[in-house]
Amino acid sequence: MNELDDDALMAELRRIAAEVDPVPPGVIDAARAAISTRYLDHELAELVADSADAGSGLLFEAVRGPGTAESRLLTYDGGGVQVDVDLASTGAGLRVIGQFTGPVTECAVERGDGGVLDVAVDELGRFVADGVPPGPMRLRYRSEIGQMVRTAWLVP
Amino acid sequence: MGPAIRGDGMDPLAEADARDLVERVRDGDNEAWVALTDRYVSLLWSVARSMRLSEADAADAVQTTWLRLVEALDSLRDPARVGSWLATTMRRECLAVLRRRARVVAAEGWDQLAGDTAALDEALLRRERDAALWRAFKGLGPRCQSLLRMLMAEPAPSYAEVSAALDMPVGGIGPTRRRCLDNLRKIMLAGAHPFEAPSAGSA
Repeated sequence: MNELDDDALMAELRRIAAEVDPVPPGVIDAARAAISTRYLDHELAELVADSADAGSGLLFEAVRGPGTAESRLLTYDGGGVQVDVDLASTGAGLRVIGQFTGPVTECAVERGDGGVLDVAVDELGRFVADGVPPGPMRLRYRSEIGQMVRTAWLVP
Repeated sequence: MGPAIRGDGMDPLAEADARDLVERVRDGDNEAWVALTDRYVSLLWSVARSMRLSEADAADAVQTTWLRLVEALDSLRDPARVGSWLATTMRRECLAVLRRRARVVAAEGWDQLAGDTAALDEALLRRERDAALWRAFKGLGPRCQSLLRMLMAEPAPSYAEVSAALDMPVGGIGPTRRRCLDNLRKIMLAGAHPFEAPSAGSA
């Protein structure tokens, strides 16, 4: 081993890593499937504030509501609408509470694994989704002029 | 033979391939997407493992990075450098995971979380010299383990990609790699090193 030059030693390490720490097949399958989350006709709602990123140039400082467990507040802006999202973990998955600033229809939570959870928005623009499993998710909604909008992916 | 890496860490041939793949994916070519993910999935995995994420956390961070690439496909400014874009995005996702973990389970042992599975790894390695080499690798300091694990990606990452993944200047990678491999040889020469844990979680 000690007689190997740097490149040969590195090649040995690469070979061993492929044996003891390979990329799991599920990770490769999920990567291939990720392209199905591409839509050409939608608008992206950008993240404009995230309480988990205090100091990153976004608007919020870390927020802890009085008497509540830690929750995370995010704001997205797209399709002429802003949406505030409040994430809190509960015993049975994630609770997502939202508030739109304008009229929207067809709101749903999309998950990174392709799952979709329809959510009802009330006349004041509020919604609650309970029991959302962990992992990447985003919101989709249709704005007043019928434009489909999706938020950037967020990881709770 | 490694790829032809220029002083700025770029690999012109690989870059042309990457640009071509991204452009085909933009045009809706699914095979190009499969080729692109196959080309870079080991790079992403290596970033996560280099930053000591557990398998489950690594899998989540890799997936999030692919989702972000799909989201950014049409706005990607420099498709030739999609590898560096992926490495940077992956680093950010890993840091976010580590921040969440630190908040949620600060009290639990780091080693358990990070999946320090030296004993398990060795059981997988039938050849004693492979096991000895891996044991020596695990005996390196965290900085060397991190860089070398990153360089173990298959195919070998360009220095520009390593630089993006580890937030390290391109010019520092070559000398650090040399020093870390020298340390590795010293550990091999000295035989079993003193820092080795007998088995995972025995502390």
